[in-house]
Amino acid sequence: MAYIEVINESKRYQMGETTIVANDKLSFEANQGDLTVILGPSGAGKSTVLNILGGMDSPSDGEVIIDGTDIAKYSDKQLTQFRRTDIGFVFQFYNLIPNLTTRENVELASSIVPDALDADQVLKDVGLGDRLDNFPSQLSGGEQQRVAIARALAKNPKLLLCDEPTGALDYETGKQVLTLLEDASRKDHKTVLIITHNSALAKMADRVIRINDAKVRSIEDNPNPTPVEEIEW
Amino acid sequence: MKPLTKNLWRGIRGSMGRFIAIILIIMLGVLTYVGVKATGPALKDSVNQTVTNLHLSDVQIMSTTGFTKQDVKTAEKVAGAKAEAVKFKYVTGGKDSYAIALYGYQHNLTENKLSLRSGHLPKNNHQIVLDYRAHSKYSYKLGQKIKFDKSAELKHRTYTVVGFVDSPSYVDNTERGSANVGDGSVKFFAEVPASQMNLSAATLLNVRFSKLQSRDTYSHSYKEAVSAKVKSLKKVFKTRGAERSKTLYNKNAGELTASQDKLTAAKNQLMAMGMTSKQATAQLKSEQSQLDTAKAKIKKATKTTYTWQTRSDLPGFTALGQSADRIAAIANVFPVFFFLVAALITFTTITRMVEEARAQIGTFKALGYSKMAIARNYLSYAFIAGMIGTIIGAFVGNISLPRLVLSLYQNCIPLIAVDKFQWSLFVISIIIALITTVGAAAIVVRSELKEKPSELMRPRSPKSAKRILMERIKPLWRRMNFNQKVSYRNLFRYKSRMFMTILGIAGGTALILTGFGIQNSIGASGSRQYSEIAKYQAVVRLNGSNSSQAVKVLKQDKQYKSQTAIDANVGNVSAHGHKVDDINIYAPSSKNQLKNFVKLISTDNGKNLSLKKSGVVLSEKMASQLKVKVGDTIRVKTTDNHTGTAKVTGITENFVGHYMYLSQSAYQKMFGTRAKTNTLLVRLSHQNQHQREKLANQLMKHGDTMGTSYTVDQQQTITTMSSSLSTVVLIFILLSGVLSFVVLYNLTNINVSERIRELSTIKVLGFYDKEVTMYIVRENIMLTVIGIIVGYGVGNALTAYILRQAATDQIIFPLTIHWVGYVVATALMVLFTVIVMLVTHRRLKHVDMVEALKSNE
Repeated sequence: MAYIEVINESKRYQMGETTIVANDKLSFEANQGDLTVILGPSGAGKSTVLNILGGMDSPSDGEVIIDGTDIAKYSDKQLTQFRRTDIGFVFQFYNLIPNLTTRENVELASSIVPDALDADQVLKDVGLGDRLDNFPSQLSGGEQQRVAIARALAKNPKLLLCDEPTGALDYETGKQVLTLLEDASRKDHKTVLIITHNSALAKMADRVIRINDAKVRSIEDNPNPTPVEEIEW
Repeated sequence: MKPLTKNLWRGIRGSMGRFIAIILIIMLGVLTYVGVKATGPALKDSVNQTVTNLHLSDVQIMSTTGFTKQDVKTAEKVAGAKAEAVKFKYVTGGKDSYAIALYGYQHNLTENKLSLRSGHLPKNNHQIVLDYRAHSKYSYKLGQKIKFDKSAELKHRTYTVVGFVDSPSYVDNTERGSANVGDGSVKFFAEVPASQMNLSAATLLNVRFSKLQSRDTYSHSYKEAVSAKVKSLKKVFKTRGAERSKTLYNKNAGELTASQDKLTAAKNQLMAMGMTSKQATAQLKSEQSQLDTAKAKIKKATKTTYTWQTRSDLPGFTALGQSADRIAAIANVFPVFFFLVAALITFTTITRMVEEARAQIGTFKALGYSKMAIARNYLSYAFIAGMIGTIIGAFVGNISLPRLVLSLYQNCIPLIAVDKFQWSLFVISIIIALITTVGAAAIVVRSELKEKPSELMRPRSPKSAKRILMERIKPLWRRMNFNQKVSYRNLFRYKSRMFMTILGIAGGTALILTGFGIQNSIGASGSRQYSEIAKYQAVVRLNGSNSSQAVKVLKQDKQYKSQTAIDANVGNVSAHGHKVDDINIYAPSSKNQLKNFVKLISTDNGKNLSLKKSGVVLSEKMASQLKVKVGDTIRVKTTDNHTGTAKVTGITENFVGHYMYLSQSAYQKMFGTRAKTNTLLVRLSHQNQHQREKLANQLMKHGDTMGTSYTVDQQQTITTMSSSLSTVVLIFILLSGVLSFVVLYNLTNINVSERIRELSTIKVLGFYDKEVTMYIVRENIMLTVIGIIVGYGVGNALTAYILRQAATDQIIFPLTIHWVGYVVATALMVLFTVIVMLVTHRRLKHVDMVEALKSNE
């Protein structure tokens, strides 16, 4: 069953006199509980899709139906509400609050939603049970990204959106982080969407959507995704 | 244009907001500094210009026997003197028999020239010009007739008002001096053609020294020069006075001389005839004694005594100078503090600007530009902003504030406004402004340029977060909610910003409070003196020592409550080599009654003081000027030449004037003579102006008194003093308000842009707009609260300091800030915090979170 339905979505930016088309009539679907990878080179327009799916931006045209509701027509306030309760974000550069400890960074997210998970428990689950009182500057990149994932998961969102989550990490830590995302999909049945330019990650996905030059070029279903453990790049 | 220069101009254009903010802050600082500093001198300059232009006389002499051409010549014997004899008399006239200072108008006079406010000067013998005050306060109009009492001895009884004028002899419209007619206080002056006044000779001699006019009329050098001139004048008039008396005597006694001759002839005849009729001898004797009395009477009437006065004796003249000094004293503190806050803010802003340009500096360096070339870029930016701010601020400040204050003074003072450009202030401003702008840029650029280009192009590694002290206090920390914890940690993380904000808010609050405080405290000296200390409402000076007539009149008055008789004297007191003049010496005829009229309360312990059998109680200010304590001995000399010494038995709280209180027996011991009742202190219930004038008139006519003065009039003088400052205060409040606002706005802006990533992150996490705003504004609120509280303290300290600077030798200003000041200061700060919050809210609402999160830190 399609949890996300994007129908003819376009996004245009006005830059002075020229119009830049970031998304040109994109259409795709992603199923509930699936791990979907959106693949494409930088500048293809994949981040724009993610921003729109995450309620950070609105499309110029088209419909973006998530869990049966079209968020394309949402007001700013509705979008915020949507981000607050339904979405968990993971960024390439973690975006942790430098002045808050690991636990507090997670609490920052969990404090604003009603059915949040226990911050300490989530941090234990991502393997940071012993770094609760450390500040981000005292953590390695991989650890910081794990805090970011914990922060996203603690909100208990329906949809986990990840923008190049391993972009700033080395191979090993990258793998650890991907495993956590895989677990979120396979074990916790979250709908997970990963954006990357690394085509090796395609193997771990239930569905791979390739975007290039603002258009969807192909959509492939992968009936037997390879566990992250076994992928190499 | 070189690429670097182009970059500079585009940089300015690109960050117009910040560029303008820097200019604005510098401008405000300089404007306040230069403006307030220039106001005191401008006021004095204007007074000087006025008295120079209108040829105010340096010395005025009044004579009991009048002045003739001979006297003018006598005065002009003194080097540089130009003398003019004028007819002058205190008369009564107008609606309520006002006391009016009437001058004889002569169109050819050169001294004390009138300046017309409306109408024209008298053209014929039925016309009169009045003091502008007669128009503003007693609502006389052009074309109206004014009627004088018979005692005025004018050719006509009524004259037509054809003009309203100002005179340099009366620079302060709040007072016109006192007189021995009407109710004792002069209401306004008037000038009628001299021929209309039935006086045998001029009564006033104006003397002016053109060589003295180049000196500041309030300066020490002027005062010294004038007193030297007065000395020479007194010398020449000593012989002239005797001469004048003799001439007059001979003239008036002409008839008597004839009678005397007849009498002497008769006597001689009688003797020659050898007749010794008892009857005839007795008759001759009685005639002789009658003749002698008549002679003595004429002698007395023709005796010449002079009264001397200089400019400082003119009503209000000295007070105006003091008022300028007071503004100058305030100017030494207030704008300096203001400028300091502005300078610190500029410093922070410039520092931030250069830090932001880190990557750019790195790029230039990598491209191979020299350190100097790169630094020049930022230094020029700072220099241009600083210079524009200083120049605008200095010119606007120098023109606006003094003009504003002068124009307000002009409502009550006939001034020719002068404001010179204060170059020295301008130079000081430029130096300070450049230190805070170019200096700040230089320091930061220098430290940045030391780093390698590769380091520069990478962002500065963030300051690692630290646990704050508060977290160590576990019970407190645990009790705080998540948001509070975050706010506290952020506050302490950005310490410099925290201090700057507190400083800005505290500074603004303090400056606003100070504005109110100055005004309140000056007003309080009068209101407390005449309600708490002096509980009487009127002082009645008796003609002799018999008060029965005056008491009779008083008892007929509906508002009369009680009176007590005292011996009031004026004198000087000295001790430890210090001397204080113009002391009021009060010896009450009843010690016990005095309590109901004057509150004597010790400054040491707040206990009531009583008058002892010997020794004196001194008022506070005098005691501090003499540096005496209880138990010390002082020496007193009264104006009627009684001298004596006494121990100080107490120092009493007092705000206005100098007083010495002593009992009858102490008086006897001190001066070796009995105290004589000459004054009544009178308590009255509330009177209106008309009732006051009526009572004073009655006392003058039927009470055998010399005059009545009301404490309400003295208080009025002080009230005027404080309200004359109200504009200055309002300007302070406005400027301080703007300063605090700019500080808060600027720092919040820096805060937001420094933490835009953090704010975008929480926005992405789904914080509502309100929550995002509160995330940062919560810090502002805490800082504002702290700043306001600190500001209360600093405001009180600043006010106390300024009051000490501004105190005159007669008055103590008790530190008083009414609740209104606190309310306004707090309300303004809260308002600014709210406005900044709203602006920040708008900005954060539209922040592009995606953009902010895209790049690496």
